Amino acid sequence: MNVENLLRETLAEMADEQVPPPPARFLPHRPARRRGAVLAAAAAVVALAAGGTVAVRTLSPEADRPEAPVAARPGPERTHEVTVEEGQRVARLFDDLSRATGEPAESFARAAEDGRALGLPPYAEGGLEGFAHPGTYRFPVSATPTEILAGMVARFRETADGLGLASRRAPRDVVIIASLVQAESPTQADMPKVARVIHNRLARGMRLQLDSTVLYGLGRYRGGVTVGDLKLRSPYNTYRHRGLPPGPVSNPGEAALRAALHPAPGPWLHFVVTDPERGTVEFATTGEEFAELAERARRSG
Amino acid sequence: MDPGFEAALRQFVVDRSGALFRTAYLLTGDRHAAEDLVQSALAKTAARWRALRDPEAIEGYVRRTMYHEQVSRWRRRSRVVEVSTDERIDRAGDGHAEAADLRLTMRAALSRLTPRQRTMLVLRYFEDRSETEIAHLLGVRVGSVRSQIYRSLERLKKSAPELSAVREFR
Repeated sequence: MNVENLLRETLAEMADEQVPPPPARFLPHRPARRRGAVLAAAAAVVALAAGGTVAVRTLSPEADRPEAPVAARPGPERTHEVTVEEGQRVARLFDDLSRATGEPAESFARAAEDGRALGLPPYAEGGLEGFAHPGTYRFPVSATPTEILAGMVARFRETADGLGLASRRAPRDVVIIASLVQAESPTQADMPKVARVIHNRLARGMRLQLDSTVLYGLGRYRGGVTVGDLKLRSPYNTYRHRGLPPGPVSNPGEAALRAALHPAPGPWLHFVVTDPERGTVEFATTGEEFAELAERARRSG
Repeated sequence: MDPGFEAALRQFVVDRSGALFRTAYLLTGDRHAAEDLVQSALAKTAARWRALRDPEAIEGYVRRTMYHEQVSRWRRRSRVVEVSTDERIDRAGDGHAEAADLRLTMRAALSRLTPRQRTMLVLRYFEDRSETEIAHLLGVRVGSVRSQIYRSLERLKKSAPELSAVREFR
């Protein structure tokens, strides 16, 4: 590592450690004012982390201490619950939401078209993919599709703020990389190294050659990619096109976002899932090392 | 005060104060100084709100104000930044200890740079801006940015001799 990279890491680490003061600290004291209807409703969509209850910060200025966590509460109204899995795509999310609410999936797809109403950050460029944050959401049965999706976007923004994403020069690229990391990593522990491979390949102008992007282009979820698939004419086909795909290919969780922001230091340019059963992934720097891993994967697979 | 303006200011602060604070912290190395810096840049920006209008221009103005204030601030007071050494070394696990050590050395070395040098490094290596952009933002010549950054990096290397012992990847 050289002094420049060390400096980058040091600054990123310092920025990460600092929890910013609540926004209210920077505002002059004024009588409380109601926020827009959708955002207020989004704050009412209570988010639970997968596996446990997590507090949701409301941004409502009515609260005396806006940074104080508001405990997740089901409320008096009847609620639906939907879980956005890490790495899930919005197409599948709309199906899940449709099942949970009885609304047709199209009404969610339609609601997703209005990025402004969802509160998407500008760098989402109006697309929901990548910005529906994973987690378990509970919302009143009266919630509209827009309010439900806005709740997921609000959770993304909170996580992104916590990670200092918006102060980066290319936050959209970070989310795209995180979506690739999420789709390609068998376990969370692999994520920082997978992120490093993506960064290193981009820095060297290599094609990313990631199957997850081809599958996304094909609208498929699982399974291998054939030689025929690799000819797919789509900007998502990273075997054909250099650089990142035009948008996220999944909705990444916090670990993947963190990995995209802080890849593990290392020289690797390749990775291979050598044991799909156990989810073992191995990393290689040279073409020869890569060929060896690929051969091993073929034998075991 | 115009209610539209007030709502827009509030929204901007809710959306952006976190990111602004982190940058301010890197510039100052001190939470209180960082809060002051954000607060004062916001106040100056609020006064020019109407002329700026679009959110991107507003953020650009706040940031530029922060950089300028920080660079001129050092004439008035010098700041000592404490690095809480023990705690951070403890946290780093076995294999990572060496790297964590280096980052600590780096922090201490950063605190010995002038605010101008430090600001340029934050712009270059945290915000990832080009030398041309930095020159534009600070109102100095590109050549001056280049030489100052070069000199700062040399100083960092000198204050952390372990750095030269670090393996180069590739």
